[in-house]
Amino acid sequence: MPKIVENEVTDKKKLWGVITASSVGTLIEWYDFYIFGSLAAILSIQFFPQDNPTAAFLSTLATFAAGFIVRPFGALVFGRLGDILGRKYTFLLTLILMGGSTFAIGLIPGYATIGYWAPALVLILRLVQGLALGGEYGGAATYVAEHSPVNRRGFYTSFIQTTATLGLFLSIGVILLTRKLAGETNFIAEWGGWRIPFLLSFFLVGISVFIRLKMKESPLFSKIKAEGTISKNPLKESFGKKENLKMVLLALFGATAGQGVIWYTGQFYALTFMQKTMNIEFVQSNYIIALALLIGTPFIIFFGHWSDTVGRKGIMLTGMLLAIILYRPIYSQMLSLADLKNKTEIINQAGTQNIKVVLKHSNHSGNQTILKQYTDGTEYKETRTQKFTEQQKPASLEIKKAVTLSSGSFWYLVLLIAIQVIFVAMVYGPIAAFLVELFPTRIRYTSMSLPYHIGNGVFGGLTPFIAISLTSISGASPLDGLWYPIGIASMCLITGFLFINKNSYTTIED
Amino acid sequence: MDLLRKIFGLIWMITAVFLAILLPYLALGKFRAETVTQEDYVFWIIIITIFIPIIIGFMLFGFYAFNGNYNNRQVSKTKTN
Repeated sequence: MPKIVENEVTDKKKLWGVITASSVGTLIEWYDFYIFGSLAAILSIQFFPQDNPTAAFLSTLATFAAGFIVRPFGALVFGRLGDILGRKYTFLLTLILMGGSTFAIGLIPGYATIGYWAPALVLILRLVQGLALGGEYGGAATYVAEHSPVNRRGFYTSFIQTTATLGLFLSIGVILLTRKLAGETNFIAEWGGWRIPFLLSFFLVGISVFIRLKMKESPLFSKIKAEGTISKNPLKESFGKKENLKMVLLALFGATAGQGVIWYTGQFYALTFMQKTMNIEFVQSNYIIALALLIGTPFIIFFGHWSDTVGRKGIMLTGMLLAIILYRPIYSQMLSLADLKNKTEIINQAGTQNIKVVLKHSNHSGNQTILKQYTDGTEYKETRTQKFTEQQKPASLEIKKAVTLSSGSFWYLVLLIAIQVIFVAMVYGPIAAFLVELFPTRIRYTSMSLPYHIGNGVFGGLTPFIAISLTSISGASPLDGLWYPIGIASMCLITGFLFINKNSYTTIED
Repeated sequence: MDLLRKIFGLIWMITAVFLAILLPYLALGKFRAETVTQEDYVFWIIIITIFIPIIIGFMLFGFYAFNGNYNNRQVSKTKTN
């Protein structure tokens, strides 16, 4: 059992205060980041009209740049500040920036009122959000870890790890509630209810800032500050010195890249796959994901806790191995649950299908709805919308398919996705402690933030885009999108297995 | 184990060179297609901007591994507080 070297380590009651303050703030940051994505369809109408090329261009930038470029950049900017000024004030700053920009998005008039200023301002604020998110996680994980006893670091930091999932939950919950209270029409209007989740951030962040202000600086940072051993140039020390750079590269290619793709596959690609490939009805697919997350998320704490006893590496690499081996069988099972060819259709008394045809000539379009029921309780709805030109000639045809699964298939699908969330818990639960222990206190914030945000933001964030691109290649099967997470996780598994070698580096407890 | 680390270091270096060529090639193929959209340009430019430094990092990682910087006998104590 490693000895507790930091005698400043906080007592238990105070430690839970530290965890609460850090976790609530990080949760709110994730909430702020996700509401933009969850309300993308409405934001597109209000700020980025797709028939306007400039607005559409700014929309694409807001979507990709915030996650892929600005997040790692934020990790560098705030990581550096955190290693020079301290953890407390830096992650307080990221919280204020995130909350302020989210609140401001809720106040910007739509494109219809102020024209190009609307998408330009939203883009800037979205980039600030990405920057703040890049700086938050490393600060919160470091802050909690530096308060924790060495032999319980995995357990205590795992609470920070649950915040990404809980932030997603909170964002969906607030949006659904606001939508219900405001009503569909009032919700999507220019100054409608969709702004409330953004404006609410002001109060949430206010509470979190109030809690965090009461906290003290991390004991380990205070110690090196008192000793005068704070790094003068953390960026140069982290990435300019071979001894540290090689550990940053190891963290990225041996852990966070694989963790990122597994996280996004289990929580986001699974949803995309259900909606786009299996055609599962929108609300039902969201319930399935929500239930699977509810079942799987406590395992983050379990595996974080367990890693304190059996080590981080074994659990993380086992999670990757299981994902590599089981992704294709799991997704194959998922696909078969919604495959209508395997089901027996109920033919009505007239011996025909239930077909409802509605023609709307005033809008130059006609709708046709086909309803089918199957003996196992599955329902299928297909809506075809045929648009016509001014001369009443057929233009575009849009087909929407929605499969509503029977109760048995519904719960089986929940189980299949919960298994994926457990893989997420295995790789994600111990990773904060793993990263913290890889780097010395003087450059920890900078060194751990960058590989985390490249692994999560870039490798993970690209999962849905690359997976969908792979399935759209001519001759590809619906399961071919999984080669991306399987490939990255395999590279990471080999690297982690061979190169994460406790004999080749020292950590804080050594 | 050290020999395996060396072999994989070499494999990662070769993979990095391959990816450094493949990515711009794929992007150019997309840009030349008749169906190219503005979104494709933005997406691929961002992808190349962000992935080229990552690929260089991957190559460097392979180089360190090939040179035995992660081997047991090369233990070098990282300065801790």
